[in-house]
Amino acid sequence: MSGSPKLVPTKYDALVVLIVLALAVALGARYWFAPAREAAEIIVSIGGVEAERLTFDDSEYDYTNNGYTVHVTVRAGSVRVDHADCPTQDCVRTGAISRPGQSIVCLPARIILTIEGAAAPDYDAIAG
Amino acid sequence: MKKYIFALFLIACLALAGCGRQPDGTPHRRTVFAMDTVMNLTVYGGNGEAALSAAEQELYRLDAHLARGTAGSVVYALNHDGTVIDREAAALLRASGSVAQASDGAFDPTVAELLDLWGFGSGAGEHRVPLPEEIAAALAHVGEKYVHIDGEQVILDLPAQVDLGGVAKGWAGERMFACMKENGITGAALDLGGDVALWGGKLDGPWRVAIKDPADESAYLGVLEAEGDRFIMTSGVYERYFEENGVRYHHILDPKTGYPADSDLLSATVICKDGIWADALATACCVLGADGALELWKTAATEWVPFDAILVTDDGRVLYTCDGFTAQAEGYTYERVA
Repeated sequence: MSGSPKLVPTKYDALVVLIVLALAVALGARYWFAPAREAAEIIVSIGGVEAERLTFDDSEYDYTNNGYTVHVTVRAGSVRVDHADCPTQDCVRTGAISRPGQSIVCLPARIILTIEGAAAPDYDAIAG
Repeated sequence: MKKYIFALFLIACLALAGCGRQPDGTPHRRTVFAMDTVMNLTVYGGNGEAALSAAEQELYRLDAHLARGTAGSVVYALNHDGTVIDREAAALLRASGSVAQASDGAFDPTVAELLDLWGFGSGAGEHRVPLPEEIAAALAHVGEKYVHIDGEQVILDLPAQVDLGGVAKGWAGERMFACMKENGITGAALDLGGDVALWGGKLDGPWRVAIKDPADESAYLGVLEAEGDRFIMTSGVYERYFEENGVRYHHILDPKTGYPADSDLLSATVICKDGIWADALATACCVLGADGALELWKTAATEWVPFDAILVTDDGRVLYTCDGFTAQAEGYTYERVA
């Protein structure tokens, strides 16, 4: 019974290794040199799921969920719920928000508008 | 040559692995709408999605079981029939009674009728300032002495009415811990609508919890570095209120007067290993005011359940009893209480 044949690396093996190395460097560079997000965004969450990200360009949107509609206006670097047909009107009463970390919640519609800043928060949760 | 190629290949594999985070460092997140608030759950390690699903279902169950205004809930049944047999309700009311005693009545689970009068109750009632005689009539039925517990049976002296809103989120936090444990979760930051439950640990150091500034809800007083298996519960006069004739009326009612607590505290954050106590003590501290809250902090350490607190007074002082709190907000005087 003869033993296994001796494996000799060929130039194709070297090519595979080079491709893997190139991929590793490319993926690493993507993480290490990715530019930080420059501007704040408005995250629209519907029913607990992120539905859309808005910039602070002046515009208006309608979002409907759970039988209720909220009308969102983005103006001059701030966002507000102008009117809504929900029973509590807490979202309307919150008024305009403009700073990262602030949010507007419409519990009946289960819609949340949150301003997310460029930098990741340095905390795990907010109490209060 | 073969050895070098293999070594290079190994390095490449390690570099690729390094692009991702360690398994325990990858969070699973979920937003849950329950108990009239938005909850954000973040868990690390273990079976994250299973833990979150279990936690979500448990929150819905607790919401249905403990909500006073929901027909079919145990609290609804107790307030209508005057008696229930329910292990959970008995445990919650027993703990509520203990906090009522520890705080000399600053916290009381029988303020339901008062909450309704002011429009802060479970119904969709309008906010209004009740007439003095209405408050006097309601106060006649306020007191933990009207609640009797024998094993799993609760007997309520009607027309007294209980509301478990003051301990429900604390208990929910305790139940979340059970879900985390059952699913092998190594760490979790559970934001139950401004009240935080911290389970286990993190890979990169202690948990960091930002404490909201009661004067500016988009700003933070500071950051508290905390160990796991802790509850960080806050009560504040800014959370719910209404204005009438230029006067602001907040939702933290003094069970002795029937009116919004006339204390010098804008907010009280309690850090405690017991969720129910943390929740109820935050309310009690707000009612007691700074001096009373610190007195309770001292007596609870030896006679009841130890806790720490971060208290914000209406004259711009932040009093805190624990290490690990780093001030951030300007305009306050920070005092470490020993």
